[in-house]
Amino acid sequence: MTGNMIFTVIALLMLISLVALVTQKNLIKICIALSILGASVNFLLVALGYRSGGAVPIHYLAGDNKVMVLPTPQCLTLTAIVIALATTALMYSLIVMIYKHYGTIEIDKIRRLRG
Amino acid sequence: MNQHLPALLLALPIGGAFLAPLACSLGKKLRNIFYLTVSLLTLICAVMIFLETSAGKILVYVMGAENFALTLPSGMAFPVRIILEMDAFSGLMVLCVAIASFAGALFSVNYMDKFSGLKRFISLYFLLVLGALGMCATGDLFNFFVFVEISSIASYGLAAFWRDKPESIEASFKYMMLSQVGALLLLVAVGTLYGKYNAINIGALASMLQTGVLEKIVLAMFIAILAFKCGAFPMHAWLPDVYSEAPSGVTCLLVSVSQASFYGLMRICFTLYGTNPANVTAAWILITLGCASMFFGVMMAVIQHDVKRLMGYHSISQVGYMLLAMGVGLYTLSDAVLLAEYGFTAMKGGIFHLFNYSMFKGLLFLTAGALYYATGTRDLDKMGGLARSMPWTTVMFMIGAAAISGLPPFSGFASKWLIYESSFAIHPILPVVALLTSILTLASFVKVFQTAFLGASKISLAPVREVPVGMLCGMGLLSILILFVSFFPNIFVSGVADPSASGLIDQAGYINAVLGGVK
Amino acid sequence: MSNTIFSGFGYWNALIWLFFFGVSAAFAFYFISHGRNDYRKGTPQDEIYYSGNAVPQDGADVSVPASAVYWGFKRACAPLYAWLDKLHSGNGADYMGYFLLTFAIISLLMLIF
Repeated sequence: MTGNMIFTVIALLMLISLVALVTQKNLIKICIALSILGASVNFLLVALGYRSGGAVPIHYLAGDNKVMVLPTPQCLTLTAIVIALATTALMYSLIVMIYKHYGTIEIDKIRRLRG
Repeated sequence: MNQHLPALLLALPIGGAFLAPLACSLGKKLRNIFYLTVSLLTLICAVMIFLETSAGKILVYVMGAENFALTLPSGMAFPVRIILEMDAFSGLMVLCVAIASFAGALFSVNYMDKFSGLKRFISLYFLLVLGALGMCATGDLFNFFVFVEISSIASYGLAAFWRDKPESIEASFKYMMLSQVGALLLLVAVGTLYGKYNAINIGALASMLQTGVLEKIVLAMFIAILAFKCGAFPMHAWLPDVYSEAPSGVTCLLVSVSQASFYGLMRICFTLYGTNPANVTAAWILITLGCASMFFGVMMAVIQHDVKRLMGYHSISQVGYMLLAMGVGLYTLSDAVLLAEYGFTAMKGGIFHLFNYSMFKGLLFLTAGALYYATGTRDLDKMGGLARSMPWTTVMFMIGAAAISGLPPFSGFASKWLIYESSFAIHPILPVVALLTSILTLASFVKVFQTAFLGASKISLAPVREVPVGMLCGMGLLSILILFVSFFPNIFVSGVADPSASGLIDQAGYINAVLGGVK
Repeated sequence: MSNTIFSGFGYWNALIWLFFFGVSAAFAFYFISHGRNDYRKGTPQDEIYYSGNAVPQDGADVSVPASAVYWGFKRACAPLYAWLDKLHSGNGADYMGYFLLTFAIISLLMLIF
């Protein structure tokens, strides 16, 4: 039961953010929802990336233990966090510019491109 | 030297991206030389890779190992390092991206000349090239995600490059919002596979993949995300926005970048899932998405009067052709008789169309950019009689429009014909939809040609002159390629489409290149 | 060198097509050359007929704008276009909904079949 608790939490976080993405109109709130989604995905990776009893994936340190933790998912969780930081910053700067041009940050008012 | 080509292919654009601000401070002329040289070197590198892979060789390159060909260090059963793996289809995609990036660079040199902030433009441009090339070169799903993100972030920046225009910002923001959700779901899919199989290398995963609920959900995620990235029907709405608001040289490249997502989709369906039973459903989903994209995309294109937006909707309908063709191929994948009878032809047609589409769509977006450059508007209502003042652009637009509409003898006809002649074997309605789409495509390009280039000269357009020579060179490069492929389709079909389709089918070959202990 | 590509059901050759196109074009020009030839340059034949009115100087006054082209087609497909216009609402939240909905439908189909 407690072993799957973390996945329940992750699923809940994902659900919250996906519902917010569809229902929220304020761009800032949409950005927050995206950040939550990103956090939950990173959470999932960290939870999945660990192999119980896994050895350090450096070939001269691994010894006889043949169960290894892949190094790439951990590295790329870090990469994903960095990417999330970059996109969040870019997104907020775009919101600033949208506000300058349109005078609003309601998503259903920003619809010059349609049809 | 030749063994290091895959790494060089990625090193060139990333070097270009980070050296661009330095080169741009050296003055206008050096900046342009730098921009074109790096693009040209990337193209040369891509051509060399293309020549090696189309001869049937699978290039494998291990990043960070003591030996670049050592895929399995210390006798381990599965690869732990980042591996670049390129077969004939990857080689073809790399070539498409490199040609589009060189043509776009040639075009942008003149097109962007009057704007400031070009150091950032060139940096982002090379990062976009890097993302697209990396998506085609990688043999690793996590790495694929990273390259998807690199290309996405670069394209957000480029779509919003003219930040004084509200529409650019709006398009960029909408694309960003959707694309971020897509990328995070992609990460979930990759993580789920890793959690079950303890590997992220495509070849290693393919050798272990079982059938089950988890695999089906993961495949559904991959299809939804990558079909969204290449603009399949119900998820396409960002595509005309971004394509019309980005600078035209970039749009030419964005077409190829969306093809890199299409490549990822094919790599996952064919190489990763192969004859997995989940693929039968996947094939029908691809066919349905393809038909819907073709029809609704072109229906929206017919009524547009913004020239780039119209072409953006055509991108959706052309992607539909490829989804249809590859769906037919995927449907027959587990049945050798059907595959030999029509499935392989459909795949050849799809791959041939992919190449043609990258070329003629890039050309059409460049001509649209030339119209915008010369007239200052994208609205077809305000254009007219431009064939007198812009003869070269007119001729090249005609080549592109004839090719996309599938008028014989142009290249679009040959590839669409291969798709018609194979998809009818599954259901006769499929080629009917495809033919109807082709007719409506012709109708909408006749409209563009008639309203922009023909008719009486307008007084408001009297000062319009032919665009500068750099832009003509960019368009001319793509036109010449289209004409060449049009008249010698056999070279392309037997020399390129055939090995690419075989490479996609040959799951064991792809796995062996990683796990077979290549030394 | 053979330029033919085969689909298993038929073949396509651009050069043969061009050859027959040339032949039919030659026929067409032959028939045209046998028609009446009473066009003279510089006579009133050259003038534009604009329903008997004076021809406007600016081309903008005589051209059909792009939004008006295919008016009949748009009219005939009006219900479809009304639906498509509603679909492309320009609202980002709607687009997000389509994406998630499509993803859900694809997952469901995958699980059912």
